[in-house]
Amino acid sequence: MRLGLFDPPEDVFAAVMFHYATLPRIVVSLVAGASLGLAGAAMQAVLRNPLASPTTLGVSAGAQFALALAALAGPAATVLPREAWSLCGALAATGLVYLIGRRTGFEPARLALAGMAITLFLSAASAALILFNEQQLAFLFLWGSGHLAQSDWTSATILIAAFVAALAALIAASRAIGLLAVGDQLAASVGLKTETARLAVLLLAVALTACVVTRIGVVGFVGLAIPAIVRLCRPRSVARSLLASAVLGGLALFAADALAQLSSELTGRLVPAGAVTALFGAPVLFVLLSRTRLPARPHQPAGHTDGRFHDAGLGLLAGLAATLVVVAAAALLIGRTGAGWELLAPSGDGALFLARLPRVAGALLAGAAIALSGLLVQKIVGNDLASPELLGISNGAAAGIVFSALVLGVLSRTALLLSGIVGALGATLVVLWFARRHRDQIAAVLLAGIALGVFLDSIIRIALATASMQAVALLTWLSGSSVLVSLPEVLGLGLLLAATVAVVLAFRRPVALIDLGAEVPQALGLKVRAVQTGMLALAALLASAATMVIGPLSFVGLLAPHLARALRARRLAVQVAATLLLGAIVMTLSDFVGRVAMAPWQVPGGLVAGLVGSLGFILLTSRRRVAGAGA
Amino acid sequence: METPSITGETAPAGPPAAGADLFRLNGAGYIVGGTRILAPLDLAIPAGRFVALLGHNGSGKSTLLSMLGRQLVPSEGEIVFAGDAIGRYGSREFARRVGWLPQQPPLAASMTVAEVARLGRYPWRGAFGRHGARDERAVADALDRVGLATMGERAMTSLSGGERQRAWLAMLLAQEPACLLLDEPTAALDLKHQLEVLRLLSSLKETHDLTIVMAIHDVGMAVRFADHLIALKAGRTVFAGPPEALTKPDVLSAIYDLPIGTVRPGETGPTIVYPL
Repeated sequence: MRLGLFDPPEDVFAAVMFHYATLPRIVVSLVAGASLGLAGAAMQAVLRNPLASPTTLGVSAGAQFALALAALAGPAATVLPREAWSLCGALAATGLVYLIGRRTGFEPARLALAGMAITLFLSAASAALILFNEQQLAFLFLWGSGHLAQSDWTSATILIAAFVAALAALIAASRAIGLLAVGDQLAASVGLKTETARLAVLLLAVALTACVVTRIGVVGFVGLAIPAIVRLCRPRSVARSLLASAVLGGLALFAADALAQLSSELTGRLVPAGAVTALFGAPVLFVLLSRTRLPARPHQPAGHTDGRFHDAGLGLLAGLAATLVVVAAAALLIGRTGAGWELLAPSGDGALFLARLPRVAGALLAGAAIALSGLLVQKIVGNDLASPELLGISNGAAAGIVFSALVLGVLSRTALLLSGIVGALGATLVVLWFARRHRDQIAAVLLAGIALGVFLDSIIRIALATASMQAVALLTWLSGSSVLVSLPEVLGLGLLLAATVAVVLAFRRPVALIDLGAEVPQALGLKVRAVQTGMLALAALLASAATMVIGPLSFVGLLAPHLARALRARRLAVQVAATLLLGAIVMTLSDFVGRVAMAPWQVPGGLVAGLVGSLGFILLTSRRRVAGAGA
Repeated sequence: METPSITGETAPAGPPAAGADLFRLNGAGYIVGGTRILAPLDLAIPAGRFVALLGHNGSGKSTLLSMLGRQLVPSEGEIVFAGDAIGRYGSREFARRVGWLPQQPPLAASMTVAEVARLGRYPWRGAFGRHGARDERAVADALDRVGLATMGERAMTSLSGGERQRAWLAMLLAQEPACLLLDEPTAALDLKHQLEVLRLLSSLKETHDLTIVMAIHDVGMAVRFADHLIALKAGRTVFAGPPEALTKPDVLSAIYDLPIGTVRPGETGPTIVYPL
């Protein structure tokens, strides 16, 4: 019987659909999933790192960003096929992660952390690109999160070719991969050029990933989760584990796409398969981290030239306050229209001044609030790489707010703030429960936080995809726009911030003691659990209030306490003041730059700060010494 | 697992004779996740003594010290401190009487030596109390006593291992406690600094009338400095008594499951303990 599977009659619509849309989609999902599983398994083997994968090493994000740039370049970019651009981006991002990894001895969690830092930066950059070039890059929205719809066999053919070639090469090299998986010294002692072999395998895996990203966009976590599941079955050889990862990866993506299509069908909105894999993959990373025994490193004392601190005092605070005044005045008074720059005279343009005031004040206060939240979180976790953005706290607040807005239909700001706080507290508790079990392994805690953030983010995205028009306002807000803030809300935020600062300063002795961990403060008679809980509640409160104004991904909570320490603010009171001022400066400046840089378009201030902040995060992860106690 | 020992349930729980026992364990044991770390112990820590806790790795020394320092709550039985159940004391009240230090004190990378010593006043002044002349004197005395009087402004991370250990001792002294609980205070130090810290502890015990309970691996150092020894083996007490009673080859061999010999060069020299 002829069903028209491979040679459809031209006049039967269903047969044509099946042949040119359904069947290639099935093939693409199977082959792309298999490719990602294979690439992940190869990376994990040669790096001896259960946390390595196309997602966690920045490969996918690099490829995606390069493709967006190529799409913007238009005809000029067509000299090379899209696969080539994608490969360039993937190689650049992976190369950077590899270099950072070499500096830090390829420590598993550190490498993944560097990859996630670059991924965060590139997604902020991609978001900015999309914002400016909505028409050209609208496809990135869907495609960026792994959309598998097909209209012919092109992608399927290319993916099959790439997959078969890579599989053959990796199986042929499986003996070398096996040696690398055992250890460099052993591999070298039997005559393997370890660095060359490792780079060759990585190159192959990166190229395969780039190919998949070019065709279907970023499908996160398949390459991480599938090899992990395969490893649970203890495959007896490298070749078997590669094959098993490929087979299982194909099936997983196929299932994820089926689920995505089903939910698209049910909700009447497009749910990309990538959102589904993130939904399942992020918890896998979480579980993986809690099972992985990562080596804890002993603390290394920092060098001091003369063994003394040279503390900044009131001079620093005065300087910062003056800077803040200048920045805020500029943000209030300087504007840019299509005609050019213009200076606002407060007496003349009262209306415009009043219209700008809540926005500037909102950004300023939100920046200060998220900065203080960051300082508190760093003290609780005991490490200066922690921040509300990285620990998923801001995402928790965002998820809480989106949930009550969409599901419960709540729209009052106070109710939204409350649900944000609940979400932030929930996320904080999950991460801290995890942190308690991994006290000395900050990289693991951060990865868990990022995984939680990605998980919540994909929930938010799916929720938004299924929501009505009111979602648009939420989307603006999620990218960190302070346009919608009203004056009463600013006043509320100001009061909240003032009250929190007063509490923190009044309790500065207990807060400073928490820096020393749990044991010694407890031996000194501090009620450690009570103080930690209180600080946590304050941090979550501040983070969710700030998130309502500047969105979840500003990174000011990470950077401001760092800057304060770099400026030698050491004693707690000075540190709090400097952190507040720096957070306010950075956020006000970001909001101002976002308003004028691309006028008449407006870039959300949260996005500008996120770009700068994630860049700072990359720099911080590449430092040799991460363990430095949060001071 | 095993049934609680009968002595643990019937041991007299009343206050001990004044000045006799600072701590008394009545069937206090510790179990975590179904694994027994410490068998129910009936044990007394006499007041005013320098007590050394001996035992192999994992014998329960740290767990015992943590229970005495209220870092861990016993899974069974009770601990009596100065005549009262240990849990009855307020948290700062207890810290004014007992100073406890973990095996690896925090890095305190952003603190000076004097700031670490000043932490010892928290049990007295709490979160809001003003620091007065008495507090400053206690801190200065503590720094002076450990020999760091001139190094108060130095960053903790710029100190040598021995100096850092002494800075933490200054914090404990500033607490003005009656008892110090120390988990292997000499583990990370070289021989010279080990001696330095142990001599300091030994003289502090005399001048401040302290009870010191210290976990230590080095039997030779233990018998040289301590005047009361407790040996644990797989979570049970196998020895409690004076150094002279411990330094017998058969006693030591039983504790460490290893043939051990002792020799004492001269009449007054320290006893040397060596594996055969």
